[in-house]
Amino acid sequence: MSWRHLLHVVGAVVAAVGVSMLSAALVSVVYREWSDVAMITLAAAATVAIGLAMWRGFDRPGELTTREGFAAVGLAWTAMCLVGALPYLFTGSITNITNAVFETSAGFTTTGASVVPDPALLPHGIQFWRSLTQWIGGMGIIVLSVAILPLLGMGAVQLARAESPGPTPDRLTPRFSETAKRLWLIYVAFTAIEAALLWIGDMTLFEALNHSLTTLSTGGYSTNAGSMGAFSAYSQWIVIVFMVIAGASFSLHYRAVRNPRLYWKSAELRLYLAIMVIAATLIVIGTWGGGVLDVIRDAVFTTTSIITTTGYGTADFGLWAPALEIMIVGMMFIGGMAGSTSGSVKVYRLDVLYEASRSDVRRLIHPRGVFVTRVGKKAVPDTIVEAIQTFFLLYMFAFMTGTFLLAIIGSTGDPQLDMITTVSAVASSLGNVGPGLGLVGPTENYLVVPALGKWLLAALMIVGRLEILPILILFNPELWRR
Amino acid sequence: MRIIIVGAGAVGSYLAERFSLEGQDVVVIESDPEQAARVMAELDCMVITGNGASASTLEQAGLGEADLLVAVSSSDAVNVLACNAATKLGIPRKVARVEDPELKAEVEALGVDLVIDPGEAAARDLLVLVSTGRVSELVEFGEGKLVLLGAYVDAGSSVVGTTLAELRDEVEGWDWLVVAVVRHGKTMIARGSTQLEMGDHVLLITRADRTKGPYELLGLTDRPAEKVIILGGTRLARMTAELLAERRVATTLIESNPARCRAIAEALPDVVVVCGDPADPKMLQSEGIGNADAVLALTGWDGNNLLGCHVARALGAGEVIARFTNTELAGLLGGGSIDATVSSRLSAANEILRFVRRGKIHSAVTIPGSEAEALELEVGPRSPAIGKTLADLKLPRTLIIGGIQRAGDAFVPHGNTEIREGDHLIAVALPAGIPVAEKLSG
Repeated sequence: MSWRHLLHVVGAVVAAVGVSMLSAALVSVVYREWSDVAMITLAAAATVAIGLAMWRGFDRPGELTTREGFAAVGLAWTAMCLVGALPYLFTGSITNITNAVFETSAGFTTTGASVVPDPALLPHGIQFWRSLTQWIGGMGIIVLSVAILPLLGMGAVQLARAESPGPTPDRLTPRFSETAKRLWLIYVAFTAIEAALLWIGDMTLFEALNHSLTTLSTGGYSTNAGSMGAFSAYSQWIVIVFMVIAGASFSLHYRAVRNPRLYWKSAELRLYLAIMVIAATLIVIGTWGGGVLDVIRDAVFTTTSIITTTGYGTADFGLWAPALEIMIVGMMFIGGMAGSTSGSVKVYRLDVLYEASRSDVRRLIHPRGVFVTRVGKKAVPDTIVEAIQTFFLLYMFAFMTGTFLLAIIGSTGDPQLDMITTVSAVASSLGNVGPGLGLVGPTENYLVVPALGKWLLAALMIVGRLEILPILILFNPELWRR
Repeated sequence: MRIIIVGAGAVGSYLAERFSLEGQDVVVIESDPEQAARVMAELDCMVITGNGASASTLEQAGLGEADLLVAVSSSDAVNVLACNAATKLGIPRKVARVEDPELKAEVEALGVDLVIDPGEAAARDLLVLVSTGRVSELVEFGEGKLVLLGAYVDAGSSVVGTTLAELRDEVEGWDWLVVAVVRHGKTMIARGSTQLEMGDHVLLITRADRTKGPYELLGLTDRPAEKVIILGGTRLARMTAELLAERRVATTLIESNPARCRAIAEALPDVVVVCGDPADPKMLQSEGIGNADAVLALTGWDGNNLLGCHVARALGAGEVIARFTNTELAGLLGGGSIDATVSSRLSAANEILRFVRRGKIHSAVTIPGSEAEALELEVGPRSPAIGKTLADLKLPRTLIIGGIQRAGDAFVPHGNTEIREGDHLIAVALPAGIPVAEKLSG
């Protein structure tokens, strides 16, 4: 395979990122932060220039094969997370390259782990850029470019497949570009509705817009150091509802606009909601005391925030009982539905894994029995079951290796990273959640992690967001052979 | 009555035989010349070789004067087209065989009176058999107050060697009556002097609330099956498994083709599908055939079904039922290791006969392996039988009346029971007796 084809695709994605920076410059214009306008525009110009140079300099691929698509997406996302750091560096909001790339990676991958102690002190344009990276990364920049620009040609479908979260991409229309348009339409619509509802409450328009961008993408960046804890109960409940929406499949949302009964028919949605209800109940029991309504709200908020991998905080769960902290780490491995903007393993895969293992147990009783793995009533083909089992194995392998490496790196830090910090930071980054426990708890930030550790976590975020394979394939020698 | 039958396959040729034995004008349309020649040689009917869906062939068959069209070819499309042509010509009654369940409602909307799927009909018959232990037939009459029961006489049974008259003397206040005995493929309407032999297929009529006596006599239990093993993955097997699973019966289906296993497992989540040879004793044992209440051998090959039944019986299965595509085998091989037989063509023919007889005769049921039919008929105001006792009627040896439903009550009649207007008579008749039965209704 020709690496020139890959670089052509990467160039297109980089250029698209550059163009999107201009909207951050526009925000700076509104707030009359003229030096930021200049610097962000400069960053945008540089990014677009790099992107166009690559795009024009390398041949356009005719049609991409599946593996080329995966590899291109893996490279493109890595490149995005590098060039997306330019606005932070140019405006001087974040001066250290490592920190800027970490912040960008946590943005595009919708992780929401931050190295900014108080986002409110950042210029408005940069605050907006932070939120926008999450919003773009949530639905996927390639899905976006397929929807708006025919920039990527024939290979776009392969690319979008590699970028879309979930094991089985769902088509709403015969043509993929039309499907992409509809998904973005519903994404934009939900974002607008949430922003309006938050604006009615105690948020300013700017805050409402930023929070809706990071809710629908299940990102979790806040404009406020206190995250959602700084806002009213009303705003928190609105955010809960929209986190649940963002963690559900967007193609399901689209279909359900015409036929709301489809929601109830989706076995995955029922399971997704059931998991959250059970988890929230356990947390309510575990944190019982004081104002009952506050306890319930904090429990529901934390559950939805972690399971949908958003990562906003209201309560400091770093102070909770050990059993609940272990539960929080466990919840980082769940995620929302396939086809949502959430990260982590996802309910569909967990259901398939459970059903497949149940079939294996039944096979002990009927050694020659034929057992079909199903989600709800729908049978899942064996090839997909195996792919999901492999995915889970790789996911856990990435988690174990990541934890081991961060533990080594963390021992050089000051203060040294303890066990719970290390484990939770890796689980949180890989699952695109955001906050961890211990030194990287919901009221802390990731500044404490040594530089090398930040690069590791940023890499894990991309691995988690792209669901491993697009990155793993880059290390496969067969890919690079002609 | 002129009857046109499209398709001389399993169902079509069987129906043609029955109707022509009754003396109806039967025209059969069959596209395969060999099959057409065979029907022509065996039956007293007109056979046209051609496409049953074509209007010109149907016209040649005299569709214009026909009273009934039975479209039972193996193709749904041909059957629907034939019915369509019949609708245009204003044929009063139409029956179509349609296997695709999605098409059923649409075909009914076309004005077809009865849409039948042989597999489904047989699956429903199997369900009845499975829910009553070791009974070969169970049909309800007279609003469910009377039942026709069938069972085989086992080697060790106490009734072997006794005549029906002796049996009747033994039991006091009998409210059941043996109506027919099928022996070596021949059906005899029961008489007092009939002696029962081992392997006889006995048909009796009893009050539905007094089945205990006859059950004990024939060594039957009426415990419904809780665990069923189905051998084979045919369409019939699949439909039966689905019906059983719906009724929460623990069902295991054994099929040798892996792709077919997968398809069935996908379609039926509550059925355990096992991939392997349905006659492999080791595997049957590992699936617990010894404590299965019923084993249904439903593969597509009669030989395999026979083998499967013998293996199942040898391994200690409860009720053993075989499906035979050859209807003659269905009659001959019952008894011994096989408690009951089914045949989708017989089940389908049964439903069609029931429909065709509708009118004076309320319902009609054929019995596998026997040319006899059980009929329920109403005594009309002009019936010659009104006011006469059964003995007075001097019925021929081809007809017997085994039950009467009168004003909300039902009973088994004696020789001196008087027939009244409005009675529903449950009769069992050989083909020659059917016109006599029809006369009784007036």
